[in-house]
Amino acid sequence: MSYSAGLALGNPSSKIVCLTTDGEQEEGQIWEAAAFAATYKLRNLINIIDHNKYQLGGSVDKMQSIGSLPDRYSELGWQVIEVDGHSFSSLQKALKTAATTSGTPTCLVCHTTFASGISFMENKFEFHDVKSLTPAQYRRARSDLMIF
Amino acid sequence: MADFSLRTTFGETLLELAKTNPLLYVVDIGLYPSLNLVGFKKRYPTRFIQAGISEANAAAVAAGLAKTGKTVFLTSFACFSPALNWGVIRQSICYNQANVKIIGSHAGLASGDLGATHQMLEDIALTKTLPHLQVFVPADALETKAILKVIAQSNLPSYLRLPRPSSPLVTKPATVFTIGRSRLLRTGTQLTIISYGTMVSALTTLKSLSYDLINCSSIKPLDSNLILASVAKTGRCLVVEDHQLLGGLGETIAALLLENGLAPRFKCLGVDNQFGRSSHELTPLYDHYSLGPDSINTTITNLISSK
Repeated sequence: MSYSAGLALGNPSSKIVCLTTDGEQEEGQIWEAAAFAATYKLRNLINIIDHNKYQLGGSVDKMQSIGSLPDRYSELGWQVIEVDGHSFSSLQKALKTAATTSGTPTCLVCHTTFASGISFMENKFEFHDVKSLTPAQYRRARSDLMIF
Repeated sequence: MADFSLRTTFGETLLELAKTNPLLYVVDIGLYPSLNLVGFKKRYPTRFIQAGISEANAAAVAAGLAKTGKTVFLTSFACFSPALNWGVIRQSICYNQANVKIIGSHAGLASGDLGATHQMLEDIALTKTLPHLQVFVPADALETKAILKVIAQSNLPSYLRLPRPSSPLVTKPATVFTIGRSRLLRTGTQLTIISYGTMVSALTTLKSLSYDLINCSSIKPLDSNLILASVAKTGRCLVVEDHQLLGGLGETIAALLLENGLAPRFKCLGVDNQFGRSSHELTPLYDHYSLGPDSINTTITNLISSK
């Protein structure tokens, strides 16, 4: 996000969209960047957080407490929009609001479900970094996603 | 001999360069008064970006800003940048080949009264290993200006090491700095002495010795041809550095010599696997770390007397 903040600072006529995750919010540099973007009123910066509550090693809050992301970003002076991260229409609406903000960066906290739609993977962090599926798992995943 | 501040020159030169280069920016990490950038901040407020005490963020902001076409000077003390934010420099600045000039001040033992936490002795080790990063150390105020003028024109990332105290002039106003070139300040036959930074001034007037003195201000890229030619001639080499021996210039030069078939009498003087310590007086401090005149003279005597 710091890099995105630099791009946004140097290119005020462009919209800079940065994709981060909730696990990543454990990193101190994220909050340095969040404070910086608010201080410099980077209205052209949008941080989209995939808030699925899991990271490689487990559930985010068991790894390291990250508190309430909407509260933390608001406190620093960001515009915060909470959306259903699986809804394209909600995302589209939120991005339109983000694009017309005056004077503050915008954070889209996207509430999502880890591995949404695949019954045996949903909210199972063990699949975060899975390299391959067994043939049976593969067939099941396709079936769950209605890919035939 | 009068002393001149490299840091004062740094701020003055940046102000001068900013006049003709509207794309020159500073990203400061909260220490701008110590780098003589009060004038820059006042004169160019929109090109002076204050990142506060956040080294990691500042390095990546500088990289992003540079990628929009700016030349960005990232300013702090060396113990904070490149030390605290090394991983970000690696990933955001070097990997992206962002046009960022990392300025690390107060490097070396000479920031004595700030103590071990601030006496950065590992910065050359940290920076010389990073792909795309150039590493420069000026020997005096004049060379600080000469290097800044050149790196402001280069699109590659660079690290510039600056010391806290003022030092005597050892280069000439007319001396032009070239990336990858270092200069002979003296020529002789018995010994090649290689040093960098403000240590060089202590080596310019050694008595009863015929020696080449190389001011190795371009640490990376290194002026290999100059070093090889000199050591091939003298057969003896002494490296003196205000830095850890491990990871310093000395081991780079030792490898260079060996790889090119030279096996001279060789010695490197530097800080031997220790931290710095507080001292307001610099002479006893350098003596303590075997970098004072007595140690240097004894080492030279040993090198010269051996075959």
